[in-house]
Amino acid sequence: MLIAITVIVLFIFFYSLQLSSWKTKLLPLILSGVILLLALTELRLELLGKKKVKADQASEVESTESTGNVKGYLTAGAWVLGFLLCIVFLGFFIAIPLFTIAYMRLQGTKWWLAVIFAICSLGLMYVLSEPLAGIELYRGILFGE
Amino acid sequence: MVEGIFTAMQQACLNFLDPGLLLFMFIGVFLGLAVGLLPAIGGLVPMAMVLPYLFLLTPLEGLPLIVTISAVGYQGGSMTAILLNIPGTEPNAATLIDGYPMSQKGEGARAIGAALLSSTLGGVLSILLALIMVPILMYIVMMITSAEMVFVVLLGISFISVLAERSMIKGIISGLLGLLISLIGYQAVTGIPRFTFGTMFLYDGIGLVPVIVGLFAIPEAIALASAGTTVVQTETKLAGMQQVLQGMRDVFQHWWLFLRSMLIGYVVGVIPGIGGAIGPFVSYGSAKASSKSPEKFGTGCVEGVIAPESANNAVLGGSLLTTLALGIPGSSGMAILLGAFVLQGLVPGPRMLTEHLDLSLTLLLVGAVTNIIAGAICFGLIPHISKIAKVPARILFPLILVIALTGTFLYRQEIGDVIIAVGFSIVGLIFRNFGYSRPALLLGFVLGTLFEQYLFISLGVGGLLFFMRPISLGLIAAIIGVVWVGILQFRKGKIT
Repeated sequence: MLIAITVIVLFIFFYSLQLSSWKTKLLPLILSGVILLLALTELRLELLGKKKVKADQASEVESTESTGNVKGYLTAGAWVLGFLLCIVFLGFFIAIPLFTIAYMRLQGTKWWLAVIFAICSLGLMYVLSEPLAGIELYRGILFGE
Repeated sequence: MVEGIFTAMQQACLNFLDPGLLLFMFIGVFLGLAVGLLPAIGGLVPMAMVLPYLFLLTPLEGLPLIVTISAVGYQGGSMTAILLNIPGTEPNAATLIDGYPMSQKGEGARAIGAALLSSTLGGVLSILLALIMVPILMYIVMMITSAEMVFVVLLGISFISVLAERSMIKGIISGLLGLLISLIGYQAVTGIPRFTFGTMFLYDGIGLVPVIVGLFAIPEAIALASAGTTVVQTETKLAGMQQVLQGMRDVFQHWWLFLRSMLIGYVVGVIPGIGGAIGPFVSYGSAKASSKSPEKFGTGCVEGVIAPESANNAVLGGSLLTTLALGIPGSSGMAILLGAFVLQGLVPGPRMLTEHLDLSLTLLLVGAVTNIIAGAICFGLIPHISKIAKVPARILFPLILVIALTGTFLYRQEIGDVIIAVGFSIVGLIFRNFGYSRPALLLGFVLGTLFEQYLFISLGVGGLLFFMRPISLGLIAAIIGVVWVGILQFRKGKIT
């Protein structure tokens, strides 16, 4: 993670150098420079193992939780990504019921409950957006204009 | 000035006649209690979920909604902590140390009675304390100019980064990354676009709503779904209302403990960045240390419930005050409230008290009133707690995602915002699991544009030595002090 931050911030630092006005580049250069220094300091501390043992023990619970649930996180993340792709390509009107019914069915919910829940979700979103806010929901790349 | 405060107070009271305010206050109570009673959700999710819809509402409707959600979540959370051994929100964790053993001894209703009354009274009294502090703070904020605001922003980020997280360096990196992300798009000072890479969509910068939804709502939904099932597996039977009344009498019998704990919570709330989770534990520790029979703590004694519950809601008064007066959020929830100010077209910071005093006072009053309403509702809900808390993840996960992502689109009618929200959810998940600070990133992002504007105004007016003013120097000293505290904690091994 720290290496990723270092690389990204290093890129921002050199990119900022090319900006035209000093007013434009001042803050990005200062911020990316400081972040770079801090990231390298943290990286050095982690590599040299200077972290306190107590602190490692304190974060053990969190890291155990994160590693133990990696599969669950990836599965849930895949659902989010799938929902996003559905929205982008098919639009909200298809994506909301499709995602809701598919997810709830695969989690063991009864058909009728999943369908009712999907209709209610879509109805709520429709009322909030089109009649109330006067905003047309996104129709998707495939079905939009 | 005193006359102005009284006029604003009158207006704040009259605002309560606004049907819109009352309606959204009640919606907020419902959502806030739902958060507390559904242990896996986490207090920030409903705030992040309603945020995209704030453009539909006036400031007098939208801001009370956010304050209410933030104010009442702890009350529901204490009930699940006592009955089910699962804290509804993080600050309720201290309550289960004695609350659940009481429940196991058949005194669950007594513990709930004590918890609800101390939490409600703690919340109301802390708001009254905040109201008393407003005139004093008004004198201070009127001395703050753009030069000081530069350091106020830096102080806020320092507090959140150094004090709130275990890793000081990661906390500071988070805050500065937030500032850096806020620079994307047209620069207000020169009109030159930065980091847009030729993409028109990025010319206006990254929107606040996708950042908040991505950082707070989606990661919690993913964590909830990854757990698979509802976290509530047990059910506890409660004794009658006699026990509840006994618990309420206990609060009055231990009035000194209640007052002391409430004050601890309030002070913790005033200190920016510490958040609500620490106050109840400090109060619990203080109650145990000062008790004549400390050995009873942890075995199910009512003092162990009163102390943390008096503090958890009292944090609100303190944190709301610093958020309104200085634009420095006292907790993650207040960081989202700061985002709500921006969405409603209000400038966070000292100007809130000088230009929108009536709205600021209204928000404080809303915090007090909703505590009372939520307390009353909770009493009515006592017999049904176990059933309410069992709503499964398979319903909550799609519900949160649908509301959050549709709202993100409605915010600017840009599908790019929805993609950015999902992108930021990866950042949120990484930050959540690797010790980085999401509130610090959000604070940096919210205040970043203002920070740059204040910096260039100050440089233009005062030159390179713009910070040579007494208040600026005092703020610089405070920043150095905060970082020094962080370094000391690092050396002692309390943080990494």
